[in-house]
Amino acid sequence: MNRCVLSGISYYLPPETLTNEKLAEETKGWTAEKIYQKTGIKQRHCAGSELVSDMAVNAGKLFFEEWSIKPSSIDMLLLCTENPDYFLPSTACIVQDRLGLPHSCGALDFNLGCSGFVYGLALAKGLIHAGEVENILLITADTLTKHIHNKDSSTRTLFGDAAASVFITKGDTGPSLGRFIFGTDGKGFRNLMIPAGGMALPRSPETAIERTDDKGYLRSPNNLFMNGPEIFNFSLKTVPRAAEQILAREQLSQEQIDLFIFHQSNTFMLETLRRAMKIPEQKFYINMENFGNTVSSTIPIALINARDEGKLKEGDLVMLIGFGVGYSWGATILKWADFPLSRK
Amino acid sequence: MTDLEKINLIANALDIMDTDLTEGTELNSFKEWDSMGIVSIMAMFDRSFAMILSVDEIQQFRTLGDIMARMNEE
Repeated sequence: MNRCVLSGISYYLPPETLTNEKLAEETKGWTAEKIYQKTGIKQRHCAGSELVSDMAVNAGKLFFEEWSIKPSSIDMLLLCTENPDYFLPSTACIVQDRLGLPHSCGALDFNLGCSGFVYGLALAKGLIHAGEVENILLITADTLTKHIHNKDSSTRTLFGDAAASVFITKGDTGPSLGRFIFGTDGKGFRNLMIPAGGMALPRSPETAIERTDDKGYLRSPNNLFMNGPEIFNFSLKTVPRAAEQILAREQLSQEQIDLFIFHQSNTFMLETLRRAMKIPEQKFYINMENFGNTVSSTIPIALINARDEGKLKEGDLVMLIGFGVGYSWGATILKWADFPLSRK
Repeated sequence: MTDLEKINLIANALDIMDTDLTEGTELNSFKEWDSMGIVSIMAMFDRSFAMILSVDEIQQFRTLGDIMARMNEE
């Protein structure tokens, strides 16, 4: 089997931001400071008129500019998104063309959210191990803020838009991919969804009708809906078990893990998990102040920031767990080594 | 745990500053009793009592007394 490693991560943030100050002006009750205390977030980036293809292309271009890798070397593009430009074709095909990837490159979308980056790594590893390709560009991109009602503070305070670009290649030098565990529980699908717009409930004048829920949040079936307490409950039950499973698979103990990078859902959730799992603060990475919850991009963004902040050293074991919409979850442990290529 | 300690635990979890809280105080009288508040109470039960309450159960609570009674069951 061929070994594979990560070889560079870049990310793109759209320029428009939604700050706590602006949120506080628009919603009654919470001050900017209170929003920060409750969520750990100071600002979120908003895609505005950018589509997922635009965001993915921007992340890809940034990647090729920052790292010494040519578009012509890519033989597979995996695009993780829940907001494709069209039902068909795959947005990845559009991105292939605009990034100038070769015609010999495969390209496909896969639709996962919070667990998407971990699944993307697993798909990449499978393709490389099987000897089918050698150089994979995994891009995560979402524009969830477009689906959030501006009077629904249950979601508006939390989510931001971003795209991340990660290169996974056959080789021995760099952070190596280990085993994975996966999980799904479709009974939870209604707790984090956009009800209208797909084939189950096409958009119509009826789906645009807004209603205030029992907690005072306003939205229509066209908007993102999140049952915060159910998601919290799911996360508290699932994430510790996922950690145990991947540790057992790799025959490691929790104490041997040097850094934990979980999907950055919100600070309150992360802190509750950290305490429940008895992970020391210095080993638990939280970095979402300036981004919010960017769905499948939270883990790659956190990983490159942790690396740039000097929090990772050669040989460190890094546990990644993605969990959320679906319900879907996945976990893996990277063995850290610095990227074989340096930034330009 | 005394009743006052239980009320303080709940008030801290919900980030409520009011000082005249009693068992009969209605949860709907606080703007903090929103989805974040429900999550905070779930976290409090998990942290302080090692109990994971279901969302349905927490949504049945009407007063501070309801929450305090559930603490007694531990």
